[in-house]
Amino acid sequence: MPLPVIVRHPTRAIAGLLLLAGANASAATADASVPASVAAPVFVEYQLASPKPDLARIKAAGIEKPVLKFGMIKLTDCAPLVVARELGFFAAEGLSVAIEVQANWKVVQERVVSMELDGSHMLYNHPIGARIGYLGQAKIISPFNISINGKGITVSTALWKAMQDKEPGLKEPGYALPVTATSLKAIAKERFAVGNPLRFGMTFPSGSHNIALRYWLAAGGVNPGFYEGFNDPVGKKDADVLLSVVPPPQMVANLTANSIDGFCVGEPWNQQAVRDGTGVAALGDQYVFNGGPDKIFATAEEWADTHPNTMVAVVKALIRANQWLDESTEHRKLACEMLANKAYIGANVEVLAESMLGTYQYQKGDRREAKDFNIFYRRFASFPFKSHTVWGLTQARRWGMIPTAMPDAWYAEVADRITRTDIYRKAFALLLAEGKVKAEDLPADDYQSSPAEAFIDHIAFDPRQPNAYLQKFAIGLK
Amino acid sequence: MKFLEIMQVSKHFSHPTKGRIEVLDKVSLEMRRNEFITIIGHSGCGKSTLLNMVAGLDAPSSGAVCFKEREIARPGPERAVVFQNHSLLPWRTVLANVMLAVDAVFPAIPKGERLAKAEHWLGVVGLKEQLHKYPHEISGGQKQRTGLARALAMGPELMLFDEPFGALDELTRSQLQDESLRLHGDEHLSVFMVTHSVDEAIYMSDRVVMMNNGPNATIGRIVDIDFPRPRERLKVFESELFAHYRNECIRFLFSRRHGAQAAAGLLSEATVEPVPGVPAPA
Amino acid sequence: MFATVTGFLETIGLTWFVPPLKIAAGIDRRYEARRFVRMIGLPGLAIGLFLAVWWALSTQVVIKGHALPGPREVYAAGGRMVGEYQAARRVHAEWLRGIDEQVVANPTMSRAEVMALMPDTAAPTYLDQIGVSLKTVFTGFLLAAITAIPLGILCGMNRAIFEMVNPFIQVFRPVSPIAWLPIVGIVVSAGMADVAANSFWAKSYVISAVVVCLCSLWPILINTAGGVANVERDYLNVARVLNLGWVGTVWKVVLPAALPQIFNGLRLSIGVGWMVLIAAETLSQNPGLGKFVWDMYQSSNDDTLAYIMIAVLTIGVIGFVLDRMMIALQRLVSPGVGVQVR
Repeated sequence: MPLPVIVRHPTRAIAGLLLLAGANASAATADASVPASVAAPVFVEYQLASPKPDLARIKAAGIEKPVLKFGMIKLTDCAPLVVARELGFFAAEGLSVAIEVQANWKVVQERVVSMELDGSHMLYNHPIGARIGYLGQAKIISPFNISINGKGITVSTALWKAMQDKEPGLKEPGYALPVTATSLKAIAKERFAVGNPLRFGMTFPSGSHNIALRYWLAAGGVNPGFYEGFNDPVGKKDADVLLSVVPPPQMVANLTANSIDGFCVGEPWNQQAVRDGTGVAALGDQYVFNGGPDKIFATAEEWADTHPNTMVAVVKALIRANQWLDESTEHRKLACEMLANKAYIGANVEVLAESMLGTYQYQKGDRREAKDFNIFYRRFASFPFKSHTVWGLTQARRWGMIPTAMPDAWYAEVADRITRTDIYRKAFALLLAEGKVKAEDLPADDYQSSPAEAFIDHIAFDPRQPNAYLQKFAIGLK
Repeated sequence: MKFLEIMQVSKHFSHPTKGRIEVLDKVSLEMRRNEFITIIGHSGCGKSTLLNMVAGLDAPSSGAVCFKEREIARPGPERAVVFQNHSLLPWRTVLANVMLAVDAVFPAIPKGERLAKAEHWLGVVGLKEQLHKYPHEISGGQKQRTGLARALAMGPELMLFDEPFGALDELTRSQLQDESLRLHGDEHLSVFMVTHSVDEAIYMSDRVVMMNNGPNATIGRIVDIDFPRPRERLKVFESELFAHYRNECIRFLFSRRHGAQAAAGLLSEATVEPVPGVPAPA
Repeated sequence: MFATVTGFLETIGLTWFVPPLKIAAGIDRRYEARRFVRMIGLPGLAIGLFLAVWWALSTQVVIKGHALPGPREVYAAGGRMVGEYQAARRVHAEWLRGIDEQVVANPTMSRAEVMALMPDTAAPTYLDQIGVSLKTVFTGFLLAAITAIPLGILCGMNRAIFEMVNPFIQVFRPVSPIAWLPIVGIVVSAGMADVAANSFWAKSYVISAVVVCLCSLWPILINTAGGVANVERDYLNVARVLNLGWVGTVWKVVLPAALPQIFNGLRLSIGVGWMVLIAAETLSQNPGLGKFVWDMYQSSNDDTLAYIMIAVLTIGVIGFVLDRMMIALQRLVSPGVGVQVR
């Protein structure tokens, strides 16, 4: 009972507390468990060793703007930008690049459009939403695909228990993946009936996480709700569950606070929730749409038009960064060290390493191989397929962000405007001439079909026939 | 040319709750050059209002105040005011306070001469050593001297004294009274003073103007004071004539009392400053 | 000389340093010793108590499996930040060396041209961030002072103007910086459409400064108007007798007389401005202390809270220093007017 002591013998109590504090402080010197996770030394060595901008390149390549500022969101798939900067791939093109962390995806889009940022790490469907005029019109283009797959869907431990009750198989250690949303169908109905619907967090209305989450829910028979046109930011018409926007770094805090029951987001946030014990990672999106688009590098169309040579130089550096990232596990480890720096993601290396090194922790201790989780270069991952954009458009139509059915030709036209494969091919050709890349890493076709096995609901995707594709979904506008 | 003329001056104010307040009612008075004239009366009789109108800080509601046969419309340095609570600007040194006046009144003369002028007047009032002190660093008497020097430095034709010695201790007050009288003689000043000290009024003035009580105050009586100048304090205060004037004034003011308290206040005020050899009035 | 030093320390409000100096010099030892105990001993004891309670709490409170960082974790995090800063200096030196190399390699270019082509693009260090915050808060503060002091003088001199301005003061004063931010953001973005994004006038910097200005305007305005309206009648009468005119009266009498209260407003306003800035920076992405806190909050590192606590302490200490600065200024401009140090 410290209080009475303080009341009776205030000086003695204070002296005692001070002694305690002193003992604690002296113990600190002997205690080796003080966390020292920031890997400053390794990181600094990299920075010190990285090549200086090659100024000769500026003139040779006709670089319009050698000093650039790019945006990023605290997600592991910002790695290509960070690697290109830290390993001097930008410098080799004569570019001096600053990378600035942004608060959320909305801010990223605004600053890219206003060209405060010369370019940014973005969701593949930012340019789609902006181009079709969903929540405001703007022209953004993408010459480079940062990654495929790489999203996770996490549910709270409470919701996981409820899912296990409906689907006892999930109780077995080593239960089979993928976990489907079928068990959620009944839970969503029950929660809806008592006026406390299931709530999920995603990162942006016209965002890849929103689309992946909807796809997974709908594949399990749960209606995530429809948007009512260009100006509806909520999209809860006919919804069985409620989806809301939460910036990626705040997902775990929201899950901990029970304001959401689950979320779809990139890493390290799923792994952080698992590590904190507040959530269970249900699945990675390689099980929803294996090879599906995720992040892109994007700029304002005006920026790309006014800086054509700089644009090619930037893409060259990014291609090399992606190639480097997929070369070896060793490279991935080094990338984690870079990302752990405060200037970038700042999370603990162990958490970052979880998904980046090809493993994935589904529950505490349940760590499984996940080779396809984050792909940067393999399987033409860095090529900005126009089919990615067409797929994004089909999903925007499916959920009502595009209010009316559009002809197939329209899909191809929009994809041509957004997805600038011409820039990528130009950059790749230059790298090929320099002997930095292999010819077989460039796809011949701008369009790529996806087979039925790639999807959780086994519906094959033919990018040339978007309307026929839309007809196949049980839940969704046609 | 007439020097100062107060003609049928009335003054009223509007008060938010009490309505219209009549302060002065058709007051008329003339003053000659070089005269030392004192207005005395109970608090609230409008004597300060009268002074303010002469200064130009206030305008009459009807009637007119004329200085050298021109109606007074605004204040000016030819009618310098020595304020009741010295009104020195606290962020300026003694010298800078006087310089403010010199600079404003004589912008045409060179800086060095202006400075000399300010220093001269501060020397005249005995503040040669305090030039660079701030008002908060000097005594109340010294502050009032600075106020006096500031007024003198304006080169005024008429000095307006608004109870300038009221807040000072007895000894300082006597000193300043004597010095003001000396200046009145040496510098050929014309002084229009407001006070509520009967002794001060008699000792310093050529004429003591006594006001009736307000509202609607008027001039009750004017007493001519016949002491020769320069005046010597002890001689004046010890004289029979002084006691006579004093009784006359106090009798008038006492008869104009509104209540016993007002009179008692005035009496006790008159008796707190006994002069040796002068019997207190019965 | 000694008296000048101690006098100066007293003026700028750093009275703590006076007793040890005087004790060392052997002046008024007993009195100064008592002053020392009162001014340093008691606060020291309180700080010790605070650290003890903080430590005790940190061992009890557990958040998401992590303990609340105690004094020693924060101290350790501080040490790591110093290390990171030193590392950043090394990288910076390396960059300078690279400049030298390129200057040699490109004889046609001047050093300045080389530096413009390959500026140091390293993420700002903690000291840089403090610098950005200070720059931003002073910009907003100066903007507020330049607007509010003249307006306040007009309000104080003229009742009619005050009555016109007053509704705006009453309505806008309580508005939170968070509410201003989107409006300011849109207006500034529209107004700055043609300004180069990477110039000195970065949009985020202008937005933050304007928000600081909008929130710190009111204390200056109210205090200036109050100070001017309450200038002693006698001072104004002096000005009238001297025929100083409007400008002369304002410049020589009204302004100096109101200065203590104007400075009171300025002091309040820089305090408000500093608090507002941190909020504005988190949202406007201005790379100052506010953004540091936000970025740390978003990192979810084991040491996140320790770093945020360091930022909180930094913010507090800087706010305190700013306040002392204003007090010292206030004393310097208005000698003889008592200034309350609270």
